Amino acid sequence: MTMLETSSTIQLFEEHVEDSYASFNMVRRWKEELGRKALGYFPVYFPEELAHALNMLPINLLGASGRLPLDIATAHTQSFVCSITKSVFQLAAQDILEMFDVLVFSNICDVARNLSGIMRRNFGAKYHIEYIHYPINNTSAHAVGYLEEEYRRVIGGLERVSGIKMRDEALRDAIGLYNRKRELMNRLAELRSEKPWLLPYTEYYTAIRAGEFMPVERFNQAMESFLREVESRTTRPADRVRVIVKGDFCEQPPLMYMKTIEDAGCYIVGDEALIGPRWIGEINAHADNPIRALAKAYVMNTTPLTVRYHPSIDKRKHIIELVKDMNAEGVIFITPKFCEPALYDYIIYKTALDKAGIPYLHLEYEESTSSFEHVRTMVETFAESIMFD
Amino acid sequence: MSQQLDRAKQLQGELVKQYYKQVRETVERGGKVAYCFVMANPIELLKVFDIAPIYPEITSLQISYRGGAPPLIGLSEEFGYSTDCCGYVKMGVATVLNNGQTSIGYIPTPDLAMLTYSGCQIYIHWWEQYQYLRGTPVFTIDIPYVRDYDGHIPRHDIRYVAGQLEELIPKLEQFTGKRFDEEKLREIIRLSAEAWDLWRRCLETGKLKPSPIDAYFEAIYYMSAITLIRGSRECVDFYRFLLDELMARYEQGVGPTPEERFRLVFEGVPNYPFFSRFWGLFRGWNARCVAATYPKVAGIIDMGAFSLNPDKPIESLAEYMIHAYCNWNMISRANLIQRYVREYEADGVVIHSIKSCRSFSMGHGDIREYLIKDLDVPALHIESDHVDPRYYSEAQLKNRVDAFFESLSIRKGV
Repeated sequence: MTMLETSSTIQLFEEHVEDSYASFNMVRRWKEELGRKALGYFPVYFPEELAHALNMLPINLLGASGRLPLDIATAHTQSFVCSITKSVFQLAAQDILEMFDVLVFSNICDVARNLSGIMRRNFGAKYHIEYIHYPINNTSAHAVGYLEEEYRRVIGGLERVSGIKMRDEALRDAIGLYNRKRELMNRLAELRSEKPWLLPYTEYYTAIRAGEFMPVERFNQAMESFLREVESRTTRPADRVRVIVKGDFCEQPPLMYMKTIEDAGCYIVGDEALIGPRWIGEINAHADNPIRALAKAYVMNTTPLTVRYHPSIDKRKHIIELVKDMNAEGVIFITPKFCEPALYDYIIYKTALDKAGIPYLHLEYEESTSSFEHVRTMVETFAESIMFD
Repeated sequence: MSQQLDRAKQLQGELVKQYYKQVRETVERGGKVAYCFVMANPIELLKVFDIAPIYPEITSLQISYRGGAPPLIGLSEEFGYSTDCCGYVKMGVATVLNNGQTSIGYIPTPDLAMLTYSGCQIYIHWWEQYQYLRGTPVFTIDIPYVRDYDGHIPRHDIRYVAGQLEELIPKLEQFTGKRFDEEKLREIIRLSAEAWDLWRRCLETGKLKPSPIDAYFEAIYYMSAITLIRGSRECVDFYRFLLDELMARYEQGVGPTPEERFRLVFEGVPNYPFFSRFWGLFRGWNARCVAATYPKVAGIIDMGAFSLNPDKPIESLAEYMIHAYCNWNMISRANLIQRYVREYEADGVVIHSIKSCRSFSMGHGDIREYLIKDLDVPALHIESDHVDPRYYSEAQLKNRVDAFFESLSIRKGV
């Protein structure tokens, strides 16, 4: 029996997710079953198509979520850094990532950037470690060409690991498959936004997180069946406040944290969980130069992402439109402890929300947060203040 | 040491005053003010357009040095900035929220914000605050991180940065209404290159034994000229004066401490609110910093990484912009420290992490591990903050520093 033939889709997703914190046995099994190498990437974005086209399984390294002590990592980092950084270092230090062949980092923040160097110094003999500098001057006429060359540089390294050469046709096929993956992930997100009573956040998150640990073909197939199943549900709506959650784009909040937000009287109609793999949208799968198509899709995208600067983006306009489009009644900012990018975006967004008279709440989390009473109290008060306004 | 051989610091103080006077004069005659970063600013190009630079990192540290940080940090925190945000950003934003009024006088608010993304991600977020809070136009130059671990820079990186500088020129022409004058740029670059070279030679006097310079605590005073007034005759003259002073110190056998008992390499940003006391923790042990990484934030001038060239003005500016210290990856940074230990014959390394700056500090623990375990170099890792006095615990620091020197004494047999 292959893995896809287990009893239900959600169980399949759950198995992958439970394995994705501190064991990665599924990664090992998929590698063996499909004869692929494994590429792990630190959030937020990586063109997964490049890995797939080179017969690699792209896996999003999302941290150990409180399942490991962080003692080794703490000695190598610094006191004031986020948990995901420490837990990814700890995973490598404890050899839990041994089934990975490649690790990729990028310029999402100073912490992730420096992490790439110390990972390389400590574990460079075990893994091929790459660092991608994504452009931030995305209105420059040179940005697409630069990123294309950057991708070609990275491909050169990946080809040495995989032992095969990049072919345009393989990359076009990969873009097609990942376009489909993004479409399905976005479809689930839309469904949640339209009818959040049909699936609790925990199920939603489990489904999209599983997509980061499964081969894309299998995930797409499973997601299609999951979407059909969810759409056929007849759950009735409850009286809850529709909120957008922002800040969970990199370090993962404990699932219980998000469940607490919902249980305290909210429907999370939009959030940034696993935003990286779906943010880029549809990429031209028929381009003569598919590497350039990937670069172009990155540079031209004007949807804000906290970890990526784009000179022509207006974040204030974006947040107001987002609230309107999602028909949301408030915004809950959840910031990973010590995550500066999220803390600065919070100021930009909050001044826009203040001006528009849209209620918001600011909370913090760490991946190992285990007490949620404070969250419950804060969110209940917030939800009630909206409901009875 | 006689005051006669410690005149450069005073001269530096006068140059800083002159610099602020020049900024005020530029504003008065209708020139523009650009907020710039210490790392990777293309000031040579901005000068061609008579744009006056303000460096909020430097104004913040100056305010903090004189004890004026808490009210500004408080103002930003009341506005909503977290205690976990960088102190520089909070002070810089508060200065603008306060319409330029600070404890060290009026700091002009920006007409434009020159975003040079090199070595610090928070640079982006900081300038974005001005963009959203007061509509300041942000001019962006994206500078790729030095990501090859052998220090190699891909050609496409240099082409990319140079290409953006070419794009910046017409934007500056439009913004200021002034025409670009390439000859003027070459002349400014010529003066900059001369100052950089003299500054390198000053820092390299740390190789002498005993060292006539504290290449960290004193260099912090001296380094302001290379950022604030680079590209001027005054800057060249200052570093020539400093070099003469340092050589005279060496010839007369004097230096920044009564004797040279320990030679240290220093990594990290200093503590400004208690600068003198912080220095005192080391000076009291007759320790001299013979080399340091912090004075290289504006540019790693001593490893042949870059040199400004008036014949290749744009390309050489691009190379300079890539080689800001924090734009080097952690392996290259650790290797640089190792080289300093070897070439400057240091006894140990002090690593000072600060809460505010993850760019500098994230991975400091790993550098310590590398030095102690792989290289058998004594290393001390301590923490505080560069501007926020709440994170300075002197008693705790002193215990750690004293213990370090005691063990160094045993190791060195002094």
